[in-house]
Amino acid sequence: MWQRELMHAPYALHDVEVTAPLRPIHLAPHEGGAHLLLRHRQRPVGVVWLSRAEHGDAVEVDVLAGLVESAALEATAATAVRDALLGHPAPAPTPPLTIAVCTRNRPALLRRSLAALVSMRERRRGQGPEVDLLVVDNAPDDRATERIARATQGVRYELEPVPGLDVARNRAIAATDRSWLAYVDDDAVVDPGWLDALADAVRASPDAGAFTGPIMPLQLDTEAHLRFERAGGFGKGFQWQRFGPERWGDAKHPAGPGRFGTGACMVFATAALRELGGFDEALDTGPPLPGGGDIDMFYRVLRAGRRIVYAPGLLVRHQHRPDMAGLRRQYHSWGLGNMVVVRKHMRTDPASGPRHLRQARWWSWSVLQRLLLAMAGRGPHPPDLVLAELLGGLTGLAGAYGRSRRRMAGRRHEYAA
Amino acid sequence: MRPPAPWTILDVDVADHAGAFEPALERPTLVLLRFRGVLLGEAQLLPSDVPMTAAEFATLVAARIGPTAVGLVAAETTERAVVDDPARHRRLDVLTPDVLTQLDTALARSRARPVTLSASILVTARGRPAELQTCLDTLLPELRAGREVIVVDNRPGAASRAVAASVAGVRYVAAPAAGADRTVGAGIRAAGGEVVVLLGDDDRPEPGWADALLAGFDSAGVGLVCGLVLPAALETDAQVAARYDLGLGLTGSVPLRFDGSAAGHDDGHGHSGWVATAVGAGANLAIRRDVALRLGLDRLTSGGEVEVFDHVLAAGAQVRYEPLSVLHHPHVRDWPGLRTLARRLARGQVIATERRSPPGQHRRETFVRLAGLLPGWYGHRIVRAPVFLARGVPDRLLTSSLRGYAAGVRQQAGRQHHDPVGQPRRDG
Repeated sequence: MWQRELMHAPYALHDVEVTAPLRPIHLAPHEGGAHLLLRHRQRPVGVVWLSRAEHGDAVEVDVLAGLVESAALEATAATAVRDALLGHPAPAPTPPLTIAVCTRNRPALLRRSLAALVSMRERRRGQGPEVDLLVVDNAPDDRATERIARATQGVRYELEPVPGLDVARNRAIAATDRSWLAYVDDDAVVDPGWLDALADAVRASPDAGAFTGPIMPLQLDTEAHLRFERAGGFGKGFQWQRFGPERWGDAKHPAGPGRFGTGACMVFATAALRELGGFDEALDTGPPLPGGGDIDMFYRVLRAGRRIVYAPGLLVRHQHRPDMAGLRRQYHSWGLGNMVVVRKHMRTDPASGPRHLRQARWWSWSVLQRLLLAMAGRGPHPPDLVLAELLGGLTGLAGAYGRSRRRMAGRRHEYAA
Repeated sequence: MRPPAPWTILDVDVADHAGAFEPALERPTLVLLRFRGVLLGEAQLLPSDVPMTAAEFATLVAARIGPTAVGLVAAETTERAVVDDPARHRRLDVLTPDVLTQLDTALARSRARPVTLSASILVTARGRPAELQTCLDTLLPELRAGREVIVVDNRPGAASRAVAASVAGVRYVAAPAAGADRTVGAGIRAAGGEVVVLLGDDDRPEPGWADALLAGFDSAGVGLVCGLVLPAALETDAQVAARYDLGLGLTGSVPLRFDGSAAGHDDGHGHSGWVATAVGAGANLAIRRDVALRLGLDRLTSGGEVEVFDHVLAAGAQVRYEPLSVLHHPHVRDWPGLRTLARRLARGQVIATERRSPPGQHRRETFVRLAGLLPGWYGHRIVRAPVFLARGVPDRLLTSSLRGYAAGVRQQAGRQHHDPVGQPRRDG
């Protein structure tokens, strides 16, 4: 039922460089499996899942080689051929960049995230303007976050007293003087090659409005971690993609903006954010509307005529919800955020109404299929997760955005007083 | 939901292309991506997708051609010692920084394969002298190479006869009996070459097309070689559907082999089943003349091109797909014509399936197997039809395909049918 045999946590995490000889993978007695992130010359190119139930406690090289090749070939081939076509260009210079971490009352997570950012910045020192690291402390209960930020060399600190993730994001827009503004979640850790990948992406697409990348798990220690990641996680693969105002064969495009990226890691042209008036502060307001701001901005960037580029090297590792209750809330938030954005833009962007309608129909059909599968005991989702997403979506369609706008107006008024 | 026709077809050789990609696209465009003239992949672009920077275009191209390029290089390097080392990955190993140089070498080797068999090129004509003239003009290099060219005319007339006579070395055979199959049959009987290469009067082969087909007969076991079929135009939705819904010409750019194994004509690389539609339904093929005569393929009466492939496989010969042989074929322009083609292909598949039944199997058992078999993908299409309809992309060929399938089942299960040499089939 629901792939229970594959959900025995923990799973070990491995990075495998495919240009090096493989080694067999041996599972420790307590491990249920392994998650292999495949790299080709350090660039992420694929994932292989190994489970005790399917592969036993050891996976020898001959089996592993076939799995690795199947998973890595497409992206690796694309990368190698691309480099050859471009004549193996020299590394790109660091673009003028602020990386903002918007955080609230999670100092331990922030410390970890900042450590990775600082390390990455140091590695690129001298290859362009120094990266500006900015912590936006959103409506904190104490000064723990401030202390950490100020204790970290080369990190700026901004306080945003009005609660709301998108309020904090807008504070970052106001606080930067760089052409590019990246947002990295406080529970995410950037890949060491993240800045290299961004530099390359900006050089290739200097007129893009935004860049996004893959999100990998930071741990797979619990059933909730596994269920989320096995069901696809935030995954959008390891192939470069370029999204414009239209998309071949996609009658929903650009509705359904969750396909373009994830807020755990996103980079924007600062000018684009300012032209669009910043993030919608009625989204990501915490319960009862804890999401939607990222995908709303992706949608607006595309509708404004700018492009979004999905760059596989812009990888971050994310700390997923550790328990099933948290995962249910996550799914609820997804359904809610997706349908709130549909509802919002059907009202504010009526020309795209038919596309949003198709998106809503597609989403409904997708949830229904998953629910039927779950009720039959198939797939990685137990019914309660799918029902949570369905309920969230219905709530989103039933006026959650309007209520949130009124709530934010009241909140702004309260903090202005 | 595909963009509506008309589409533009744009050829880009990435080996010669440098810099930004800034074509003036006015319509949805199928971009054929070549490397030194060899088609390796394709991209579909809307006018709003351009311009692209040099790096963006290279990234797009690499995503489209990368796996094929690797496959071609790997196929040429299987002798490498790393194959014996399970810790290495055969295809990943070829992805060194000089992968394009390796690709160059692999393609040059493929092109240099010797041609050892004599060939007769059969042009099936249908009373279209202007088309015939253009087709014969593309075959002048073949004539200069000493190959026999025979025009087999299903609608013989003075104009077509005159066109054929105007090109030195071209023979003309009138074959007024109805049906393209019988026309081809007449040409096979008239031919003198060891291999018969088929094309229609409206087909436009690319340079080197015939050599690439003929080079595929690199062993006595190869009975038939087919090549890549590209659309001559995508001016109508029916032509687009012929390519993307019927799958004509979408077999890709990596050579394939099919044999008549119990797995169902599996080439060992997972390509099985409906060989004919997989490789273009006979629009670009060459067959050994002795195989064709021995199997009575010169007297096919039904199933057409679909049967040819399965007859060859059932006789124990190999079928090769050789994408270096490229021919541009005008798909049928209108929906009635496309539906007729879909019906014919579906019926031919049933006939071919029945041909693959174990010898001596009782007819009733065969009927039950065929009627109850209902190919998985027909059932899948039926189930999904309402979904596609709701999405505004109806499966416009489903009914025709089902009709063809039903016609094939009726024909094979309930009636006398003829074996390839015209004798009633005897059940064992």
